[in-house]
Amino acid sequence: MADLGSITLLLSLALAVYAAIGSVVGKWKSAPELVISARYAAYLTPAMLAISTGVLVSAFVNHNFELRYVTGHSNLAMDPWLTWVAFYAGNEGSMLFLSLIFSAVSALAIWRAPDEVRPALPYTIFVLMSITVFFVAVMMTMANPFFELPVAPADGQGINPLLTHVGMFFHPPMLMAGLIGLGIPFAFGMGHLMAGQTGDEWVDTARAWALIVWATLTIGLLLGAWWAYTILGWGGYWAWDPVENAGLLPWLPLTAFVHSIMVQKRRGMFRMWNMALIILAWGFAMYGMFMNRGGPVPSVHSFGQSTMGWVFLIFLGANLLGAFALFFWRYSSLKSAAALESHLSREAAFLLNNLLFLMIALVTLWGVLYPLITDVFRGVTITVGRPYFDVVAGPLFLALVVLMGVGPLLPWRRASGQSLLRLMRLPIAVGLGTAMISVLLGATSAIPALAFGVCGMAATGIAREWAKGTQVRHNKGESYPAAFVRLVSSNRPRYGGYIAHIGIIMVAFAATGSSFYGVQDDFSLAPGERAVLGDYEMEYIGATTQIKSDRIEQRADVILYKNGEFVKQLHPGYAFYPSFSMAATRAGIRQTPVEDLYILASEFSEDGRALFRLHINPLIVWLWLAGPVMVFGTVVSLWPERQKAAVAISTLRTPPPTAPVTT
Amino acid sequence: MFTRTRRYSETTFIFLIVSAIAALAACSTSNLPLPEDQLRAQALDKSLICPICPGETIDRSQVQLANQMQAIVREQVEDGRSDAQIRQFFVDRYGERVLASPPKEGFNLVMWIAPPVGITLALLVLFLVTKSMLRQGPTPALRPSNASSEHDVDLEAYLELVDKELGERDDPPPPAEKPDTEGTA
Repeated sequence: MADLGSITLLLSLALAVYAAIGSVVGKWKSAPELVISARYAAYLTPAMLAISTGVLVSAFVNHNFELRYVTGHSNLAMDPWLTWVAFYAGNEGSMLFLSLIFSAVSALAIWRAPDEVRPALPYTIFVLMSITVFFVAVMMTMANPFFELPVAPADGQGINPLLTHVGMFFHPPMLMAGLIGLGIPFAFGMGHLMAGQTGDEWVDTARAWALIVWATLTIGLLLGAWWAYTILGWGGYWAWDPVENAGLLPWLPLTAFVHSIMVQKRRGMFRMWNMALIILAWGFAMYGMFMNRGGPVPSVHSFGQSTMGWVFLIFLGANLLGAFALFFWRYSSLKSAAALESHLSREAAFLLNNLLFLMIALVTLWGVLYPLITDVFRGVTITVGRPYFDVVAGPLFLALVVLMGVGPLLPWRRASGQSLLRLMRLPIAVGLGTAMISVLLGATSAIPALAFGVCGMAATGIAREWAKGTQVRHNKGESYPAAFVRLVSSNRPRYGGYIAHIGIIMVAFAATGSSFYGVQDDFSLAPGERAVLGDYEMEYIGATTQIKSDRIEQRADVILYKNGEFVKQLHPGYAFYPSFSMAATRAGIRQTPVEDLYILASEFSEDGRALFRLHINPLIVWLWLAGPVMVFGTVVSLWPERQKAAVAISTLRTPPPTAPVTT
Repeated sequence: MFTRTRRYSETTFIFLIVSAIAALAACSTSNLPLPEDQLRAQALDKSLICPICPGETIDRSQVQLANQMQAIVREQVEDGRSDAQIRQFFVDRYGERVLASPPKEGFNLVMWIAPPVGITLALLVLFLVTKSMLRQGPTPALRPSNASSEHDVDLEAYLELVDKELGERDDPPPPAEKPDTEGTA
């Protein structure tokens, strides 16, 4: 069986090499048959990798410990459903996963390529398949999942316990798919540069793929936060850990890209800029994979330490060099079809948005790289952590939320200052109101009050846009729900974007509440004793210890009261995995829209005494709710539109211009 | 819900949004009376890295050393030592890397100063570049966005009404054809 896996890997490599070379040579020699056969090879590559994947999965399920990878990441006691996690728990499996996902999505992108990207498609295929070749080749030479041990052990080593969590079912694959998926819009951009198609042919396709990747990456990041919150036992969800940053870094230029590509779509501007952004985003994505595959900085995520990281670094360098060489080769033909007309215009707002996203990416990168600098220049090891990132990136994120409130109100081309002020009156009033009320009701410092105010302002801007459009349609005789739905479907990219913005405001809201108003306290309790934090009271009933085949679980029984009334029974505790000498916490969480009560229990002693840490984490639930909202916004934004109606409807395409709000 | 006049619906909106956001924000900001010393100790926990765990602060790390360090922090806070003294205590033992972020002094000032300087410079460059772009004169009109899937017969008239309601528009009507896409040989 394992041989079948190795053979299909080899076949997929051969097919990918053929597809990459064949499509370019076919284009050069004007041999369409060669291009077409290359395309079929590109379709067959994921099929071969799917067979390899199937072989590895069946090796896991059948406990085929002849395979080193199966031995290293599973054992007889492992639930079969954990195979999904074990599959990508190490380098070998995650490389196979990355190759499979990338080649499958590439095949889909090639197959579904619309007419306007066809002329450059051979070059796009070349880029896509070259990336596939890299991944498959590295996997085969440095991390072959089908490597067979000379003697099969009786049992495997088991799976990393931190991975046995629902969050891990989706966080790593989503994040990996998001990182590698960035290669798709990148390939379309590079393909068009190679073909000399420097206009706007690639825009719609690249935008669609970029949005899909954006949603995937966003969900991946949120799931990671959720996993950290429930299993790492911090009471927090984001730590500016080097690998977290590596996931965030590509997200930032990608988010900038999905904004600025709209300007090219509508105005033919920012052509160079969009190319540069997608190159940067892909660069950061590869940096992310490099950090995950054994980067130089210690992290909670160092699952697959190996020398493979350095191969990624070289690949990253080669990609950036090649991409920017192409970029400068085509530089002169990447001129905008239009010029900026005013600093007070939607185009300018998009530019500022792009700048802010890039700045966040750069200051984050600076914080990640600075320890290496001191190491080299001073020979001192230092840490750059939360205090730096909070102080430096926080204000930039806040500025982005402000811009989110203002930008959508600006029309294309130019606005007048007066009309903008008139439009901003209501959002600013609401923002100030929110800030003031949060101060009156207990906000202790200016920064969170400001942040809440900004959230209020941005939310009002969006809500007002919706309300106004709906009202206008309602006045025409549509019922409110129908008017709202038709309003949204009248310009999906825009209103879908607004929905995603609501999600971002929810994230900002949750981040403000939880980072400024979290409270925690520690208690050492004997069974029967109680602890009080705020309005909450917790009674410790007792602990239970369960010895399972792979772990020792200790759980506390606690009863939670709020204002003296029974709320819920919770079971915080942890599991110790002797074979990994690793403990995984399971927090007891009681979630409400206002706050979470978060309980950790540890250090259970013989007499039943245990240590408890209680957190009150305000507004956390909004962070988790933001995920579905952002995905929904992306789906709305991407929902295909019926082309025929496009021209007739184009009167609605502009944002509500500088209209007097009151009559 | 809304009534006929827009002013009224706006007021309703202000009210709804302000109260919803403020209510949530306010609920979350109720301050708990924890003792001063404890808050100080917790803040110190967040500024110290557990030396044996990968990049985790001692308030987050689950290992025993982190717990011991927390206990030392509390002892020293009780003894009335200052934050700087307590941090120095750990730096003396574990080196600078025990601090979650380097202090704003000496060589490390570079790290703290670079971002604001960079951001200011970038904003300046963006402003100057866009200013030079502004001089390049007028440009082709907007492209039609492939906007909607609706095709009511009434729609045109209806959209005119929308436009009227929204006041005069800044944009000229869209061109009948897609504008030139030059350089697409």
